[in-house]
Amino acid sequence: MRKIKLVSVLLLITSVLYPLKITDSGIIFEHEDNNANSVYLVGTMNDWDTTATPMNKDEDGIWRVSLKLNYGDYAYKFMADGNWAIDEYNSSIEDDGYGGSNSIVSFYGKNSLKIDKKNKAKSIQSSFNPKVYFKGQYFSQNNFQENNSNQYMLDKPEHDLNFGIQVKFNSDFEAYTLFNVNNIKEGTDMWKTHFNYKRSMFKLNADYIDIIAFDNMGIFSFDSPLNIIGDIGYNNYDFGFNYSGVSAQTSSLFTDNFLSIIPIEIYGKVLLADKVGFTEDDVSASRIRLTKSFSNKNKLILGLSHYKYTTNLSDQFYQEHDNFSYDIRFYKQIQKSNWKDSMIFSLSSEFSQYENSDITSFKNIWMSGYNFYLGSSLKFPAALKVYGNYIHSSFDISGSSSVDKINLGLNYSSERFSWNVGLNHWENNISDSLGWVDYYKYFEKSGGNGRWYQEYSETSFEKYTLLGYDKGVLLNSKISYTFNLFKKSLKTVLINTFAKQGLLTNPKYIENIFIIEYELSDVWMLKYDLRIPYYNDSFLGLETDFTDNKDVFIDEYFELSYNISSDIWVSFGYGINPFSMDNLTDKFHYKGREEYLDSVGGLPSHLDLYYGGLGAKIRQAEDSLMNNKMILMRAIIKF
Amino acid sequence: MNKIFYILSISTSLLLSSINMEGFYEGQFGRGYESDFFDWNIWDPNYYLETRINGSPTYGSNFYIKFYADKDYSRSQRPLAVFSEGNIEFRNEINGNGFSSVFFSRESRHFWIDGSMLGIINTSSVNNDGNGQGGRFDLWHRSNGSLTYVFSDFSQGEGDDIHLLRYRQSLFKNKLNTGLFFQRKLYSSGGELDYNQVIANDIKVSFGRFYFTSEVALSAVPSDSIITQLAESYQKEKFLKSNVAIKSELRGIRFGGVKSGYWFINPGLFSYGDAYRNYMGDNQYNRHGYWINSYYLVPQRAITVVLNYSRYSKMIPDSTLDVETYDPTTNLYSEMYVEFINGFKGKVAFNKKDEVWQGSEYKHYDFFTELSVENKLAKLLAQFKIKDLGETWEKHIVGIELSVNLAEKWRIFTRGLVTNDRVSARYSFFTELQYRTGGNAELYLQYGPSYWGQYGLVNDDGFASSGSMKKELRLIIKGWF
Repeated sequence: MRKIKLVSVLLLITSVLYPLKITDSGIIFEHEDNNANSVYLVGTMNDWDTTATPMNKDEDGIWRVSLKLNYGDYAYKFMADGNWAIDEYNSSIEDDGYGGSNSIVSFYGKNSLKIDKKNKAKSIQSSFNPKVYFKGQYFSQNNFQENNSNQYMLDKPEHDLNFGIQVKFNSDFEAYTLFNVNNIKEGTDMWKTHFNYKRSMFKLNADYIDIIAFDNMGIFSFDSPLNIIGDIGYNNYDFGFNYSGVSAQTSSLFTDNFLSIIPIEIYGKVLLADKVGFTEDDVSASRIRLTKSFSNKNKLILGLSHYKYTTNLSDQFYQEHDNFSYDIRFYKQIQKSNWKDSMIFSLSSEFSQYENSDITSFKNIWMSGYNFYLGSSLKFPAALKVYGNYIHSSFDISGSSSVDKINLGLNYSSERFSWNVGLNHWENNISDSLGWVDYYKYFEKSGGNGRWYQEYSETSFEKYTLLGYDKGVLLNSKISYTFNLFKKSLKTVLINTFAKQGLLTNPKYIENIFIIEYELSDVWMLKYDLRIPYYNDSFLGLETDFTDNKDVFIDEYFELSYNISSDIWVSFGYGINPFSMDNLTDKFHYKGREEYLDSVGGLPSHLDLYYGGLGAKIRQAEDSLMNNKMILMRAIIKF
Repeated sequence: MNKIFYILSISTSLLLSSINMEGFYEGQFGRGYESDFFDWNIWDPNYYLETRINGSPTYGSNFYIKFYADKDYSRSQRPLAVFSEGNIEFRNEINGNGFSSVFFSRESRHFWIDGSMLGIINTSSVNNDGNGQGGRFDLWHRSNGSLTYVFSDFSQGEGDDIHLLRYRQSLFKNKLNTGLFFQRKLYSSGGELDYNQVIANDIKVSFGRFYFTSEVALSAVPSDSIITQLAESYQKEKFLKSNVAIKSELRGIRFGGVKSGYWFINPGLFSYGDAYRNYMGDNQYNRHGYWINSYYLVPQRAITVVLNYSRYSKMIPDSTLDVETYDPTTNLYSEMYVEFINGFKGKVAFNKKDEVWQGSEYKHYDFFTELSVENKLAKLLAQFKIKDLGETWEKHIVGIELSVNLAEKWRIFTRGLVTNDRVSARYSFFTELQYRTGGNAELYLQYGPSYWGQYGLVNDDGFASSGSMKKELRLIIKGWF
């Protein structure tokens, strides 16, 4: 490409007036920028290496560098404090192919250069206000889908641009606004695709208080075990998406000053938010946290949180969810001289109590309940962490119901080997008068937390075969081991998920995932992803039989990727790729398979009303996914 | 080397994590003389803001976006920021071997693939009126070979696909250059045979001062049974009439000497088969002929004489008599270009085209002359053309352009055109006062239609056929940043 570029450089050269000087020691390049801290000469003479040719600031304030060059034509720019600039005194420029310009110098002997400092460049690059930054990402996805004639046809390519403008007014106050362009989401021709406002934020760090005003930014989560704010749905979203509002919290200066008076750290936070759109859904939340440290190794934390959700349904009628919670946590840190790291023991507990009411001329409490959490974890000095917790949720609607959940797990991690295993057991005590709709709403979609309006479901796909039963178990295991193959890293990952009614019963659903990642070089990587679900659910009519090829849905994906960093890569793949972008957070995650199945089968909305027919919908979605093999080319640059 | 690249990637990521922004702003305010009743109507002002952003977060990666706000867009009251173009690019090169990949949206330049005598690819035919979206990959190796692959979806319409593949190889110290083209257009109807495909091979050989270039192409349109059957019927006996196109040219022939001057002659021949179809490039077919281009440089005089001759014929099957007849078209172009002293330049040209079409003869004889002069103060260009000389519809066109530098920042530009034929005489007059406030901002005050004669003066066929004066007044402000 650079060769092509150089040819175009040669073709585009016309008459040139140079600011450049020629001496016995070579050509002197000059750049004037009094404010810059560093300037580099970057161009074809150093293969566009941005650090190879630093320039020196002379006493007259001009940045200079002298180079000995072979006869030829060179394209170049200056890089001043990371910002590109062309040579303003050189009228010979060319299109750099990216919307900007390169300066051109033709050097064919000592008398080949002419100097005319009055002549300015044809185009001027903007010099930004140093308070303004651009942040965002540009993602492109190109899918070739196989049609009925076995031809791979290119779908309309997706170009998704998040273009953020961040203004740092001063060290304490900044603002951020994000615009989005996406031709697929907008559903129109590319040339009609607009910049659409997406989200924004103001942040002020005052002396004693930090204030954030936000619009559609998922950035809030209370640090108590039950997370009455944040940790929403099985994707664990932070609070703030689709809401706009303001929050205020005490600053570290406030905490430090208070600590000098009494030996307790005090932290407080208030959050007020309104749901984006025409509905009047308001959220108010607050939290106070007191922390007492003992000899820098033991810590006791007491917390009090309040959360209220209000939705105005008409002039005389609104509903609310009112929740108070109290939490206590204790951390103990043990350190010995011959240990690699410290040992940390934690014990946590939280109790939250809520009421759901209809408010007219009087208050009618139609649901009340509580959640109780008790958990403990132990992190060993080397590589092991074990944890366990118990959650009891009890609520009263159409009779008394409750659910008991136990989570146990361990994480082991060493340099080459890691193993995460978890057990999630639950037992429902469902009121006889509770129908499917209410059961799904209160037990599954909101996970027993009493928030009937919750937008994102707590129930992941792996739990679908266990819905409606009195009890169930999910067993998760993820084993990872990294080999060396031909002196390159080969990472293997095996993930298994078992969905069972009881610990000793046959599984109703198993998902097996096998991933291989082989680093061909520092930047090139080969990846293979194999997913084999196994269904054994006679009620849903889904029973995998590999010998008869019945309900067998095997998904494979091969990928070659070029990774400059985790946020800058291009990939070429074939098959069914589960690594997809979450439309809410604009981040990649491995939930593409579940999202596809949900979207094809319309599963979450189906479950809002019925359980019957779920098996047929899953089969339809799995078939569709398995036949959705495609050639996939993707690239992303985060800036 | 990889480690070096890795270290560079990290270190430069800090330095390069910046964005360049450039753009263009234009405002137009005008009024036009609509009629004697409603004379000077003030037009809606038009504002146009174009912004281009180019980012290079790390070494070897780039993105580019262009968007604009245009008051004229959708006739809306407020400008909308419309995403116009964009791409995301990665590239790397180690020891002369490298690759580049780019995914683009609405950027025609990525369809560009180096030239072909047969016009195998025409960018405007494959870029979907500038709306194509897809990807481009370039691979090159240090043994002077390179591969380019472009795929694209038509973002409008039914979503046809284009695949372009080109391999080039240079051998024997650039004495022999050869390449392969493969290109296919897949139609969104999705049928197995619904495509147009062209495969071509080109060769360029240089020996001494001689330079021989040739290209051969084969096309296929399987879904078009008429063309397919036609190609098959020709295959055995009349191969050149089938789905084949060939073009060859020899350069370097010259006669004369240093004292008498050299006469350079470049002959060539071509044949586009009757069943050849290329919907992605030059779609000529059923055309066979040759050309001889020549020029003579008069020694010790700034005079160039050009003489070009071409002849081609089309096969016109006569279904009644069941015979094939050929209708020839010949073209003779002669030109003399002279550079006088004091910056004066002159040109005289005559083009003689004789065409036969189903037994009828048509003549298109054009005479053209031009005189120009340029110095620091002014630039003058005067042209005269007789179009279709000797025919009933003969036209005489006179055009003058004059540009005068009034001061360092002020300039006046004037263009006048007059055409005269047997029916009527028409004229157009345009004048413009230009003010340049430095390198990045310009202001224009215009009167008259700027478009007539803008490209080619008297050779503007639009004016020659129906153009006329229109009273318009415009103020245009342009700024680049």
